Amino acid sequence: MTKQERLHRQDPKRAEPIRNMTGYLRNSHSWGETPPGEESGKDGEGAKAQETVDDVLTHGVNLGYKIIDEHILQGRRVADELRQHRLGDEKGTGSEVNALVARLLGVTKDVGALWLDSLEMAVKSPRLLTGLVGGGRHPGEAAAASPGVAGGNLSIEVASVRRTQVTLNLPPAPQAYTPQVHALHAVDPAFPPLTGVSFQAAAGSRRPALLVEIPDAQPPSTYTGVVVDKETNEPVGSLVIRVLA
Amino acid sequence: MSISARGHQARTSPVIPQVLEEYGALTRKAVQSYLPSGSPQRYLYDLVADYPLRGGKMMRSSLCIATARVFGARVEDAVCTAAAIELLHNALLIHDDIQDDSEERRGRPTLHSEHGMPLALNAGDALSLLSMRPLMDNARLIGPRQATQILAEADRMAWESAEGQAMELGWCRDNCNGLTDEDYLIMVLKKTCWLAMIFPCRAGAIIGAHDAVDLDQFIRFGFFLGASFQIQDDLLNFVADSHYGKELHGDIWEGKRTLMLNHVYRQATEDERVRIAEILGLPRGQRSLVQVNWIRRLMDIYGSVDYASKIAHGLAGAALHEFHTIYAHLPDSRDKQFIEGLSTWVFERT
Repeated sequence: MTKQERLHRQDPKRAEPIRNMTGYLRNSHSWGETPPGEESGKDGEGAKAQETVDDVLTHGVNLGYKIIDEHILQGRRVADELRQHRLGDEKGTGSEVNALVARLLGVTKDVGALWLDSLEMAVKSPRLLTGLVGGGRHPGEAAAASPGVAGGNLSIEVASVRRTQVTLNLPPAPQAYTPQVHALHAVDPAFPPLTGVSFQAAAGSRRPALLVEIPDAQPPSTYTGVVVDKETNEPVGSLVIRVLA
Repeated sequence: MSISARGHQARTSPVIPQVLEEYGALTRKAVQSYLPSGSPQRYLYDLVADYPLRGGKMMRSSLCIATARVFGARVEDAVCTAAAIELLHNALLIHDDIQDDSEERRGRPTLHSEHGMPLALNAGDALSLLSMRPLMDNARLIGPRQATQILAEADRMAWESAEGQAMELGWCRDNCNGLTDEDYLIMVLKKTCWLAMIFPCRAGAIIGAHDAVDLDQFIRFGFFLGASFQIQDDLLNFVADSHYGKELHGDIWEGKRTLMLNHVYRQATEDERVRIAEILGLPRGQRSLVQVNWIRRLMDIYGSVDYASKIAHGLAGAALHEFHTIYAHLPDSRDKQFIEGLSTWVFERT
C-alpha cells in the first residue's frame, strides 16, 4: 500500500479536551431542537440517525451541570441578599461587639508565634476514654482498669504557629472503642489535608490525648474529619479544626 | 432498551436493601410515634396514618441518616429529621394524588378515592403540619443551632417543591407543549430532587459535620441522583406492576410533561403534534385508551423511551462523579457504600 492509498481518519473537530466547561455548557440545547444561531431544517433525519448513546449522555450531563450551576448561583445570590439585609439590621448593636472581637484578635496576634491552643472541646463519651485506656479490651475490663477516669478528661495538644480551634464531637457510644482519625480536609480541595492528627495515650499518663500538629504552611481554613472505630472503621464522631489566619 | 432492570439484580449492592430495611424500620417507628390518635379518629387521624403505614422504600429518610453517619453522627441524631422527611413526603403524596386525580398509591386506592377529596385534602394538610414536630424536637436532640439550620433548610426545600409542583401542574392546565429538556430538568430539580435527595443530604451533613462542609456540593449530587431517579420513575410508569403500585401509563393519562412526552412532541411531524396537543388538551376523564396507547406507540417509534433512559444513565454517572468529589476522603463504611450504591440502585428498583 502506497502512502497515498493509506486510509485516513478525518481530523477530529477538537484536538484536546474541553477544559472550559462553562463555555461548553452554554452551547447545550434540547435534543431535537435547533441550537441557538443555527439554521433550522428538517433534514433532521440525518442528524437523528447520528444520535449515539454518547451524544445523548453528553447532552444530558452538560445540560444538568448548566442547570444546577445556575441554581446554586441563584441560591448564593439570595443568601447574600439575606445576609446583607440581616447585617443592616444588626449594624447598630453589632458594631461594639465587632470592635471588641477585633481588639481581642489583635492582642492574640501580638502574644507570640507559637500557640498551644485548645479553644473548644466537646467530649461527650466517657466510654471513649475507657476504650482508649483499655486498648481493645472488653468494655468491662477497660472500665475496671481505669475507674478514676471521668468523662471529658481528654487532653488536646495542638502544635501550631497560628491560632487554631479544635472541636471534637464524640457522642456516647454503646460500647468501648479505640478512636482513630483520618486526614482532615478543607472545603477547598486545593488545600492539602491535615495529616498530623492522631489519638494517643498522653506521655507519662494513662489519659488519652488528641495530638494535633499544624504545619506552618497550612493554609487557613476549616478542616473536617471523621473519627472512626479503629477496628471496624465505622464513624463514631467528627473532628473540626479551624486554622485561623 | 429495558425499562425495568430486573435482569440486573446482581449489580445491586447488598448494602442497599440492608440499610433501607434497618434505617427504614427506625424511621417508621419514629414516624408512628408522631401519629396522633383520638378524636376525630375516623375523619382525620385514620387518614393521617394511612399513607405512612402503607410502607414505601424509605429511601429519603435512609439517605439522611446515612449521610449523617458518614460524617460521624449517631443514627439517633438523624432519626427526627428522617421522620420529618417521611411525614412531609407522605403529605405531598396525598396532595399529588388529588392534583393528578391518581387512582392508586402503593398498590391500593388513593386516599381521596377512598375517603373523598375534602377529607383527604385535610389529612394531607395535617400530615404536613405534623412533619414540623420532629424538626422542632431536633432542638433538644442535636441542639438549637443545628435544629434551626435544618428548619431553614426545610423551609427552602418546601418552597422549591411547591414551585416545581406548580410548574408541572401549570404545564398540564395550560396544555404547554414543546417543552425542552431544560424545562423538564428544572421542574424535576425543584419538584423531586430537593425533597428526595438534596434536603436529606444537606440535613444529614449538618447533623454530622456541623458547619464544616460546603452544602452546595450536595445540591449538585442530589440533583443528578434525584433527576435520574425521577426519569427512571417515569420510565417505570410504562411497565407498572403490582410492585410499583401505580397505574400503567398513568403519566400519559394525566398528561404529565415527562422527558419522553416532551421528546416525542419535538420529534413528531406537524400533524402528529396537533393530535398530541389535542389529546393532552382533553380533561383526563375524556382521554381514551386508544389515544393513550397511540402516544405510547409514538414514543417507541421516535425512540423517546431510549432517549430518556440514556439521559437518566448520564445523570446517574454525573451523580457518581459528584459522590466521589464529596465523599472520597471520608472513611469507607457501610453508609458510604449505601450512598454510592444509590446511583445504580435507581435503575434496579421496581
